[in-house]
Amino acid sequence: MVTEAMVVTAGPLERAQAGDHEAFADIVSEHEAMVFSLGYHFFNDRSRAQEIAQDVFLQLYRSLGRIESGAHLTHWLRQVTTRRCIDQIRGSKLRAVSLDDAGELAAHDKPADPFLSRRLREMIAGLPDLQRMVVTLRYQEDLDPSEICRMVNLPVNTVKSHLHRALVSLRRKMGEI
Amino acid sequence: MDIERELKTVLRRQRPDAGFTERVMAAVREADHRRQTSSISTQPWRAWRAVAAAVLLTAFLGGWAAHEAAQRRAEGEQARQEVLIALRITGEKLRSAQDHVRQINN
Repeated sequence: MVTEAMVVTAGPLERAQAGDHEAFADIVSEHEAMVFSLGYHFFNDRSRAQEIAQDVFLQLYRSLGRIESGAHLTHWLRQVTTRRCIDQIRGSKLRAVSLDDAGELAAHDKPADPFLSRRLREMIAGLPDLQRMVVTLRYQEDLDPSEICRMVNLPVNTVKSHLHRALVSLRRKMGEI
Repeated sequence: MDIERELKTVLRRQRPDAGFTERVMAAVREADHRRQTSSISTQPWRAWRAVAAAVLLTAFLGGWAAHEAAQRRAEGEQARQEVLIALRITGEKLRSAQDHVRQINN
């Protein structure tokens, strides 16, 4: 039950845990870009990324009681989204769609050099699944390999190796342009 | 070209389509509703379980009470038989004493 005192003193997490739907909506709004973008940069597919993000937030709603803090919430969302993306691609044996199928970027997302950025996105989409996820976590979320290894459940040296190989591959391909 | 800077630009966070939060909240409400409906639909099973437990308990208690009553009846019957035997013995002893007194008087 949400009491008046809670509304005044508690943060969105505590209020959501007490059954306040508006507080949960605030949490979704705050984290939707992170959750959606992890799926979007992994699959290159907006509608699929939105489906995954919705599933992740529904799972969060059912798991609210186990979330201990704001930092734990962010970590939980990153980890669940990452694992859901990897599980989906392993289960369906689908590759990330090419940019031709993915639709155009929204106007406000257009980079300074659209050609180069589009080419780079194509190259990221062509990376092996784990390399693509590691690169996304490194450059979208600004995480260190020691943090990424907990998301993807791999040893830190394996993460570093994936990251290194991905960067070598991307540099080589960009050099060919 | 600084590939890491380019990656940060290309992989920056983006927002989902407008109305995403509202769609999530609609799904949350639907999930809540489904859970409540599912809980209600499982209640008849709970009720049947409770009825079955009550029937078993009643049968057990009834059987125990019937057994106790039968045992009490058997004990009562045994006591009655013992009293009858005692009365018969007493009667026979009285008759024997009367015969003895009659013989002395004669």
